[in-house]
Amino acid sequence: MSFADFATSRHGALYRYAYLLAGDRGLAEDLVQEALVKTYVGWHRLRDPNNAEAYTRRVITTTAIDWWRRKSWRAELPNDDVPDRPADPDDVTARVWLWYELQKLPPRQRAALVLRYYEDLTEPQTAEVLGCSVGTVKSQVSDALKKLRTRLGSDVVLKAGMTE
Amino acid sequence: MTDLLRDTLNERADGIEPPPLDLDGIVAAGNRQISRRRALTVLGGAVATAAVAVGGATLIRPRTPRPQPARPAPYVERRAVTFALGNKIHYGSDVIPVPSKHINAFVQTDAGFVFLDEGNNIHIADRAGVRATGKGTWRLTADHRGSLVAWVEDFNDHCESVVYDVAANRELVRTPAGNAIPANASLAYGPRIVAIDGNTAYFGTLKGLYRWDISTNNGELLAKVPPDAVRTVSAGQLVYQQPLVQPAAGHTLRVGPTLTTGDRTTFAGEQAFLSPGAKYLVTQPNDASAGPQPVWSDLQLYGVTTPTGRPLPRTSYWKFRFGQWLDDTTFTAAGARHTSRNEADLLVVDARTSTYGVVAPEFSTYTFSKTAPRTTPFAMPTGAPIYDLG
Repeated sequence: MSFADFATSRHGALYRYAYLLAGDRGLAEDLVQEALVKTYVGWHRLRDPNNAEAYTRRVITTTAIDWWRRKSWRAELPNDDVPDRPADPDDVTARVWLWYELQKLPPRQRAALVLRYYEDLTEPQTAEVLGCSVGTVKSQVSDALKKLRTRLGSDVVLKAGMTE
Repeated sequence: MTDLLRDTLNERADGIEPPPLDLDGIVAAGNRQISRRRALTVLGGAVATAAVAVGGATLIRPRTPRPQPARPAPYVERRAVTFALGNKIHYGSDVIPVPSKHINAFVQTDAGFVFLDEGNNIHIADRAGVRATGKGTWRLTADHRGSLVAWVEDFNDHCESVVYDVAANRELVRTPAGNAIPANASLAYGPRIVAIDGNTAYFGTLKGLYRWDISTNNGELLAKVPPDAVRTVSAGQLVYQQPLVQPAAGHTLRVGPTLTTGDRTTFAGEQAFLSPGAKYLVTQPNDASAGPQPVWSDLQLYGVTTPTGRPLPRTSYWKFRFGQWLDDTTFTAAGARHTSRNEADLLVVDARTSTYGVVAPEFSTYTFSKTAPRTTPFAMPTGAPIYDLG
């Protein structure tokens, strides 16, 4: 597989992943662009597409965390369209609320949730992307869920089964 | 974990449309990084080589070739009817898509096509694929034959004339000669590449016309004339304006091996396209309407050695755009029809008989995009973009 084939076929998935991390389309585009440049530079070491994808995801994640620290994305979060706190998890406003609360999580916790519950990676796989131990992944996910439960309210949490 | 969390993430991810992939930009940025690393490697390598020489051993590793986007391979040594439409180059019966949004301008060389994208970034489409050079310019110039292309790059206080070999994938000439920009000056007429004629390049600089020997990378100032005083050069024959030193376009043209004002035939027209053997001259008078650029209007065809000629009949067309000399007697042009939709036909003109045939009827329209940079849907292989300032 050539780099062009890899980039063309995986660009959409990588962009969606970056968007879930950054919460902003422009930042997601920049993240993917920067990560693909690094992948291109190291392509001769990453001939296996699986290696290339894992490497690109790792670059997106670490770059996002680094940018987040330097640029303080949280301060730029728009909240005009966030509805009142929902009472029912089936209510569409629950997902809007959850999305908004996800943006407020620290980047490593947000990345851990996206990798575990969107990418469906195992804990060891998530640890590899984040460059940390499995134990750290467990604690990051646990802490993140705890914050979300607190912010969403007990009614929604109980109905949505988020107490697991 | 909860369905709510998964639903939220999936809903957000599914709800966005990824932007177009800028593969050329990625490859260009990657190549710049690699170049910087190689420069550092060479520097470090010099130290390492010295150390290894003491030990009497040398290790040479083969370099892994860089990956390139896979694209159809153009076979471009033959000059065929060629035009660009949107982001595709049409070359004879071949269609070569490029990953840019729009081709503003392009030229053909024996080693591949060179084009400017919607941002006037320079790209090369050859047998290896499509690659960005990382450079930008307003206009490209190529010879009738060979693999060379040339352009001018702008900087804050000067411009540089560049000659690039598409086959060798490297710059042969880069010089600021004659192109220092005086302080607090606003340039009305910027420098340009007049022509590449075999192994000689002609640079229309702010100081005057330079003739540059590409093989030795040395040049000489031929005459202190405006950058566009000489229109083109083929087979050692220069096409230059009269009066020669008038800063704006002169009113007529002359052809000869030197820039004398002696007893030479005068040709009507402002823009010039000389055949490869300098046997025929196509001129285009400037249009009084300054909106569409370049301001070319009619096509006039002249014999240089046996001066005869006249404008091509306009029966069906109100505007012509020169394309390319296919050989020493035939050339292509686009003609805009007298209709409300301004359909454009692609023509092949026989200079011996002053007749033309339509080879691609309605291949495009002579219209301009509604948003900047207001270009036509098509480009002809002259290296100059067609756009509207009106």
